[in-house]
Amino acid sequence: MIFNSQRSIRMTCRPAFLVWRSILLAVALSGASLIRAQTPPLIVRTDKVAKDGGVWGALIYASDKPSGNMIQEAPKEFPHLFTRLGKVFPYSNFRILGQHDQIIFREFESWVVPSKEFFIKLDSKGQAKGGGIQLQLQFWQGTKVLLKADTVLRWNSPLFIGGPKWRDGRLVFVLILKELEPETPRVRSGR
Amino acid sequence: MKTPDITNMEIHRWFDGEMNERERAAFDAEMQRDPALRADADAMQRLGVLLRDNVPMERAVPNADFFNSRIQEAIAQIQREESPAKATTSSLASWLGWLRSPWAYAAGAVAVLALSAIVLTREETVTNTQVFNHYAPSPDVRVNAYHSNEANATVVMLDGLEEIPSAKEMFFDESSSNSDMKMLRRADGKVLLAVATEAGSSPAFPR
Repeated sequence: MIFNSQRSIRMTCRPAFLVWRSILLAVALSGASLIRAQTPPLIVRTDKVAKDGGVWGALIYASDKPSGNMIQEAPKEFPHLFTRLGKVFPYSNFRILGQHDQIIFREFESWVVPSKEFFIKLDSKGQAKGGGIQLQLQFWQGTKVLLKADTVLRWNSPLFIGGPKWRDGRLVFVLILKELEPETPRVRSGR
Repeated sequence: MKTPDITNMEIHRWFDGEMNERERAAFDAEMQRDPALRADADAMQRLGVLLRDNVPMERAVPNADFFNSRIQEAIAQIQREESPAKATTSSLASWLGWLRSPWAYAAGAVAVLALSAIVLTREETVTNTQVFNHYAPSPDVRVNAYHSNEANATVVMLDGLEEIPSAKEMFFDESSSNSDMKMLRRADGKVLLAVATEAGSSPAFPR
């Protein structure tokens, strides 16, 4: 009996509760719409984000066979890259499979993704004595971490990571410190 | 024949007029007494006359400047040998004189302190990319990190990695690929953010 009486009370209160809930919901939605209408577009300014520098990363295919659909020219910033690669890796042809310029953020991890399969995660530990950036580096292949390393990346001193064999050659990941380009603020919708 | 007491040397001295009065008187008395000595003395006098009459005693110097130049050269050589030694001596003396100054001790102490500070605070300038620690989660992977002077690059060689199948396409054309990695780009096409939407990949979320 007690159960029935409580149930009857709940049933009698239910219409009023639904009404109040509808009113509150309507007020909330209208308020949100009002606020949204008055919100200016969100300005994304990466120049406000603390950053320690920039890197250029590339996945390179080293082989003795030339291949047609790959970038054969070294980047303008590093014209002697292929010559320097040839001093380390015993191949005659070097082709860029993918490349990526990336800002190194001070408080965020940075991902250098020149390839769908191979990429690098960088955590900056700040400027290094004598120039360069202290970095915690992770070299990824898909979902696997292949390498973790503590490094200091310095100017005009690239890091070559000799990766796995592929086809007639070997994959090489190149990471080079580079100057940051001046940026312009970008406007993004507030939605 | 001259007496044993009179030597040829004394005859020469008599002949050359090098004897004093007492020696000459004694020599004359001996010649009076000894006819052989007298004969030797006379023979020497005759020989002298003969030489003076037949042999020219004065000869012209072949070239007076020859000797002068030799002498001057010898003097110059001596001066050359002596002058560096004198210069060194005088220079050393001046340095020693400077060190005798009371300020020299203070300056020396400051110099020693400065040199010590430089040596203690000096750090070797490193210009190469460095890899301090490295770790490969897979036990099959061997990591070899080194610096190649020839390439002026730091190399991390990963050996033991599984070979990528040849059929797998590695060329990364972001514009045409159906990549699971979503890119946030800015107006000029630069990638700002990469987000992998497939399970297990690592998106670039802020910490």
